[in-house]
Amino acid sequence: MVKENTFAFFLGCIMPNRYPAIEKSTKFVMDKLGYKLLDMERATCCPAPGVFRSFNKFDWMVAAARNLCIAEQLDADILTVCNGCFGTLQEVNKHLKQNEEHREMVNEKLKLLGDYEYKGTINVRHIAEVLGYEIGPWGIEDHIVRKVNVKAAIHYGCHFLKPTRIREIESSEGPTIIEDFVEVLGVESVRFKEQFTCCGAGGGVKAYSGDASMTIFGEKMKNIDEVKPDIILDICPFCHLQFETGQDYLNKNKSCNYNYPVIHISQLVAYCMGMDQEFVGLQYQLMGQDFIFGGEQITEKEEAA
Amino acid sequence: MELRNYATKLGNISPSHRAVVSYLKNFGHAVPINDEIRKRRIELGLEELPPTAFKFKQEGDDKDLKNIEEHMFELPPVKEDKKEKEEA
Amino acid sequence: MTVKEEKITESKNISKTEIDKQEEEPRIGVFICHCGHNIAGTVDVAKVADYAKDLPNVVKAEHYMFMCSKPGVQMLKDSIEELDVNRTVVASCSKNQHGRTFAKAIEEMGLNRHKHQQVNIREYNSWVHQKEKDKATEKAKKLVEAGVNRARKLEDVETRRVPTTKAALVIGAGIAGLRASYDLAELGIPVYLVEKLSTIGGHMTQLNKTFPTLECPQCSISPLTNGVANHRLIELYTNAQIKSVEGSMGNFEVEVEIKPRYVKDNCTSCGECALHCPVEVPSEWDSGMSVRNAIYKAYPQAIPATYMRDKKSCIECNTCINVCPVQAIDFSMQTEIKTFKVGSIVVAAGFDEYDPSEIEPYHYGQEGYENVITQLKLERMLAPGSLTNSQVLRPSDAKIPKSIVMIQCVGSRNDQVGNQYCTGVCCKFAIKNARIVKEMYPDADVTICYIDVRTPGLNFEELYKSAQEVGVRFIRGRPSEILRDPISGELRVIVEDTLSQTPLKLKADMVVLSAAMVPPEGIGPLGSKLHVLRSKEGFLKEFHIKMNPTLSSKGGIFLAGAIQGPKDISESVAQAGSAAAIAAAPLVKGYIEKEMLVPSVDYDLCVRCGLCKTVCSPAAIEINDDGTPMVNEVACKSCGMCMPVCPTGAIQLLNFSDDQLLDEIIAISGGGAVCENE
Repeated sequence: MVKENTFAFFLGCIMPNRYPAIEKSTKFVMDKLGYKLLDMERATCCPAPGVFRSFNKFDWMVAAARNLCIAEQLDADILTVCNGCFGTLQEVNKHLKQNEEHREMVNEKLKLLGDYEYKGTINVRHIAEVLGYEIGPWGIEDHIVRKVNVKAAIHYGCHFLKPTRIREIESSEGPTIIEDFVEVLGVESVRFKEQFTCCGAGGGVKAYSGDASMTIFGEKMKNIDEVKPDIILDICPFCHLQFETGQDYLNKNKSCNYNYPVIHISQLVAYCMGMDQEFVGLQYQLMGQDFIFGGEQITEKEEAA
Repeated sequence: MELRNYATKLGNISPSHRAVVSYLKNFGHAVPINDEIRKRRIELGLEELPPTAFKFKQEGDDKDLKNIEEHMFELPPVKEDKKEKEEA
Repeated sequence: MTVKEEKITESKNISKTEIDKQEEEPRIGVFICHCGHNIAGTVDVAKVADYAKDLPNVVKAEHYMFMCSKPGVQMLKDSIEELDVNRTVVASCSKNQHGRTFAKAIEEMGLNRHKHQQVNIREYNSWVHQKEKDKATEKAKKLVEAGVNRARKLEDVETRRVPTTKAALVIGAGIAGLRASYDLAELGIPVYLVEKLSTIGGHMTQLNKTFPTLECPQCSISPLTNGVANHRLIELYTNAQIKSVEGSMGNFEVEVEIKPRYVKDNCTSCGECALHCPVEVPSEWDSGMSVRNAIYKAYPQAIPATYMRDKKSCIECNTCINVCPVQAIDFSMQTEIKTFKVGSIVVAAGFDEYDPSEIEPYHYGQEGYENVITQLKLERMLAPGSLTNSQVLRPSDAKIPKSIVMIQCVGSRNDQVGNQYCTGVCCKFAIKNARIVKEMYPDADVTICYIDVRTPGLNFEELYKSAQEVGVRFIRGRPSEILRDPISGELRVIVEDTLSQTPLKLKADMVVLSAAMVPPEGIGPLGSKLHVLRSKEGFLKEFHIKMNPTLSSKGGIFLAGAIQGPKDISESVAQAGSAAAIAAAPLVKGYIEKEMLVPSVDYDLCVRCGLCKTVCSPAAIEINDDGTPMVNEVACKSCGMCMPVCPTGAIQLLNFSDDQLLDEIIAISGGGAVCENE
């Protein structure tokens, strides 16, 4: 039995090493909601599903299993805030639970890496579905102290919902889990053309060919720009990085003039739950540095006489 | 996926992708941390280095990364230059 | 034209014969065939004949060049006449090939035809062991000995003549059911035609035009619908479904549940009631493209012309009752149950159009995607008298679309949704509709996205060419999704033109999905009631895909039309005619002759477990009140499944009993078989 209200917090690469504000926000949110977040000592890259899996699928599974073992030793489900990490860890976890042959092969190799043995005792969770379904818009309402008033272009990314048969969260054709959740925070979701395409970063694309990555991304920004949202809301640090550096690149190289603040869902929820805007970290980000969240304070509910 | 794995076995892997693998082996991460971010972490009230394998390596305990380097993601050497192929 | 009459010999009695058990001494004649070189080239037939001569009860063992020839057959007959042979064994080809030949021959000499045992030493032996002559000969000896052992205990099998009920039931009044009913009635057979909807004619009446001649289906079908409605031998029951089916071929008893129309037969079809009815609901017959009232007639030419009240939508305001000039409306009408006794049943329950909502990327039926429709809906729009006045209009804003994209193979050839088959008619009707639409609106872009274009048969390649000539565009590629611009609401079809390897985003004011033909709703319960097998796709399974596609898995029940597999109108009509003819045969003759190769039960051994009933696929075994099985000898198909499941061996199939089969096995195994005797 895994510990209740406890998660092994998987950090990944980009969040701790490029956007620590997301880490701060997540810790704030989970703490306020009553969850304990345990450090996963000695964790590494998940490893990234786009690059490492395409090099050597088996080693990718082994490296992922090693990270899973760390959580198993902590006796807690993994919480991740990144689509890529979720993609790798959830998929490998599910696969090794079901496929005995691969499990044995992986455990054989794990021995070479240290005292690790994959047992299949934990689950892997993504903060978007923990917030969206487990806590839900009804549950978060009790915890927020202010509502914002923004229009957001919501970017789901790729690995969160797909492949549908493995993730089993929601249909990837017309999902509403994030819209429904952030509505109660005061966010109006604006739909834009081809909303559910990739941001262009993952799949090994950004690492291999920056140009291709930017071409895909450029299309997406064009569609987002058409609807003129206040912010771009994402649930993955790699998408986050792509939206940030991408807008910068397009401004410098394709004479665009984008300045949309890029917000990860952790940052948004943390802010609504009372975290100061300075910790949201917009001042460190490239885009939308002048953006003020604003929003209205929610008056304290009057005590019943 | 199988095709890409096979291509890697043959050595057909771009330099930038090879670099990513070396990052994993050295730093434990595809994207290593830098000084600017270290400072930022402190400013935000987090510990300077996240408790991942890299931190432990800095403190002298680099068992895990060494093992990863040795046993995982062995890449064949860079293919001979195209010139040789043309001559063949 | 002379009709060849069967010679009725002594053994084929009309009344039941007593089956003599083992009073006569078996006298077996064994004949080994050379079959030219086919057998003799590998097997030493002389040796085998010699071996057979010494087996117990064998009074004659010979070999001959061609047993199936006239002299060969004569050898059998002579042995019966001269040596009182009463069981014959011919070792030659397979039972399917010439078993009947020899069986008939001995019957002509007065023996029961089941006293012949056919041994296959060709397909089972000489043809597969051509390089091992010695071993083949040894094997032939064993096979022949097995045959002799079997022959020894063979008993007479009675052929019973069962009188049939001269009446037929046809389920479904679509084009196939109508044709079958009419053909049966013309043969003088009373027909009960049962239709679950309130009108007859089926899907054909919903179409705008039929391929390849682009005729009006209402006109084509009208003589038939009227012919059926007015035929003195056809009783039509609409709003009716099958409740239960008992009996077996030649004598079925069927219970039919007829739901009330709430309108009496004196209805003049004037339409006053519908005119004043305040309730409007989508019209099912119009595929949702228009509305009907709670009291309604499905379409102007509907037969029966009597109106009908949809109790679920009715708010019981009684307006219709008040305005009806002939007081035909009666809310108190009740469901009726009628029982029909029939000799044959023809199932013509048709098909449903596949519902594409399952294919999520096409967004059929979702908000914002009203302009994604199916071909049936398009037919309804184009049809005369439609809500759009036969114009093609976008459901979202009633404007004429300037670009129409049709997508083929929706729900067919699709592993993801589990329908692998090709429906076979969608290319034809899509091309038909595309050409019609393009000719109506020459300035519109009409595109068909296909995987393969399949238009076999006379006049269809011509139709395909003519569509291309008027400017219909064909793109080879299966669209991956239909995108919608959230601001403008415009649809785009994403498809790769695989011939030029170009990804495309086709602008589409309207998308028409060519949906598959799938088994109709309710086929599961209906199939169970009839005890017929279904194919893995859900259609009713035919007896033999090549040689008998009209007979179902159960004797006396015949299939006609799309219920047996997707097909077009011509094929359905052809099959319906065939079904009518085969169904009529036993009814016109007045009897069915069935060989009573049936199981018998030893009630001392029977432990009343009831397992035999559970495995009987034609449902020929019923359990009596005391727990013992009762066999319906007419329904029995002699499959023998009841035997292996019986824990005590109480039920034994005639001529296939455990000890008879054991004798055969002992011989084949070389005499050393270890067995557990009951």
